[in-house]
Amino acid sequence: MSRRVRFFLKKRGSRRTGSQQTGSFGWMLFLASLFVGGWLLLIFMVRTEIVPEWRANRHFRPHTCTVLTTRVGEKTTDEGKLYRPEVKIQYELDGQEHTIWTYNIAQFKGGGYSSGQEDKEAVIARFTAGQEFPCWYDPDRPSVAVVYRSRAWLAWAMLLLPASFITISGSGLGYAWFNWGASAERRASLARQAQRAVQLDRFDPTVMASSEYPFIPTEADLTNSPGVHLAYRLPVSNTVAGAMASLIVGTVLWNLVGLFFLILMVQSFVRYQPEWLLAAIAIPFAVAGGYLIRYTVRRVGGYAGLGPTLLEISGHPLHPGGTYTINLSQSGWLDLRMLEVVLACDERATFQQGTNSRTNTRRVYETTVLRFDKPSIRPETSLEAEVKFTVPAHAMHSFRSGHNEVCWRLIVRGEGPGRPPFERDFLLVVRPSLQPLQQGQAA
Amino acid sequence: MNGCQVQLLIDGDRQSFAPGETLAGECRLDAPRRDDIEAIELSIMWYTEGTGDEDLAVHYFERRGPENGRTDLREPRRFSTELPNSPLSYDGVIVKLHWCVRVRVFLPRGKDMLVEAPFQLGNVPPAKLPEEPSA
Repeated sequence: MSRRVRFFLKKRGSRRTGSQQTGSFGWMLFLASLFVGGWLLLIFMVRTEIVPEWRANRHFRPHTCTVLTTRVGEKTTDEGKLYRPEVKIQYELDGQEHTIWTYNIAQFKGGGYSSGQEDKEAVIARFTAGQEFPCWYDPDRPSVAVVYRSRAWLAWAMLLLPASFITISGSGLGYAWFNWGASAERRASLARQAQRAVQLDRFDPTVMASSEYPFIPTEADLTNSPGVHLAYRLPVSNTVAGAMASLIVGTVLWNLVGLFFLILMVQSFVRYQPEWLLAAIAIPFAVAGGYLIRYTVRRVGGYAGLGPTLLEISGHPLHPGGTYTINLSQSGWLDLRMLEVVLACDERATFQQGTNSRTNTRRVYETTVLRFDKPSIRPETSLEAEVKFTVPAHAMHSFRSGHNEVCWRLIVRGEGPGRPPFERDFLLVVRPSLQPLQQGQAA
Repeated sequence: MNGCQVQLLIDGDRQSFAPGETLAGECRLDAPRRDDIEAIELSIMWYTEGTGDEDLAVHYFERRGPENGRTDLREPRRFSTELPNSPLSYDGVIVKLHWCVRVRVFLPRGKDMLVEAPFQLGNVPPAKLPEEPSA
């Protein structure tokens, strides 16, 4: 099958993927406009700000002038009045007398204005009429002279703006140009080479593991904590403290706003000038706040009395068909309807929907490896148990790429009378078993 | 179509490989004229399919084109690579992972032609939903 450049490619499920080449062309057009715009802005700024000031500081020749008079120049803009010091001077060059209004080089381009009238009055107060002062004149245009040579640091700093435009768009343009017309496979190959080079350059200790088992997450973070009873203590992967704190803060803020509305509403009724619109907002707001308080209390209550959950494992990473021992220690002060440890495998798929990135999760394997019915946990006697479990012999290994993932985990799950269920997840890494294929095993 | 045809042969006509095994084969191009082919890329790669956006990675990549001088791209070309330990082929519920040998032939006037020879790496059986009753 052969094909030309198309605006749309095949439909994938309910989504239509865009044409790579059309997208690249649009992106390059955008970057090119940024690049050209950056250069135009840079040239404009250099010509109007940098070069005149540089010439005044480096090429203007020193001379002497007589101050005739001074004034503060004014200009009205949308932001209000702006001011600049102006000094009328007289000087003679090659037998020719020049009389001009000046201060610094910016004034010859119509600029030099800024806010603050008092500052400018203080500046011109230094120039007394009738006295001689040093000045600097332009040897190419003797009618241009200044009595103050400034360094416009702000103008130099402003160059960073077009410079960043040029750098970012130029790099992007170069990258897009390099990839123009390149196949997805070629781009992937180049990206892989670049990634390897970066990893090797950093002496990344995970390089060996990741190159031996590509696209399987490394277990380095899961095996750096030795256990008391078994080889490793697994870290909890879903901590609820942050979520709980956010929920409590959100509930308090919502109800403070609701209370403020309610007070205003009651005051209006007390004054016999009822604000009906305010009442229409405040009452539903307060009702929602009440529901939010109830929900927060239930969520937080679910974790009340629940101490740390410690889970240790005899070996890591895991392999399909392998048998491992886990040791569970649940402390706290609570009575539960049940507490169980579940081995689960989830598929996670992330996709773009418009401007949003969405993730779907589907559980494809779940088995209970340990279960307690009606456990009673007390501070002096934490719940402890050790049990063996086996990873299914033909299980898919852990896998992670840009948008797709297969992840294994042990989940400690509890339910209690009068409290919502709670879960604590412990990530696992399952590597493929490297047994040779048996006859007729593979499809 | 410009009459160009691609034949992609995997040695032993195999469709299943174990991690670490060597996959070898030959790519043959049949085109009336030498100039009918501008470049050819051969990749041994995997890509995902399913609910998520497509990910792909190339394990082996070889490109022949104008940068290789005036070689006749129609000449049969052998390829061989040791397959990696992972990721294995997987037919999941919302994540599927396919391995293939892919040949992309670049034709004149910006056209290209794709030929794929799929194969399975490993022997992971298709995933089933836990709730699904066994048949």
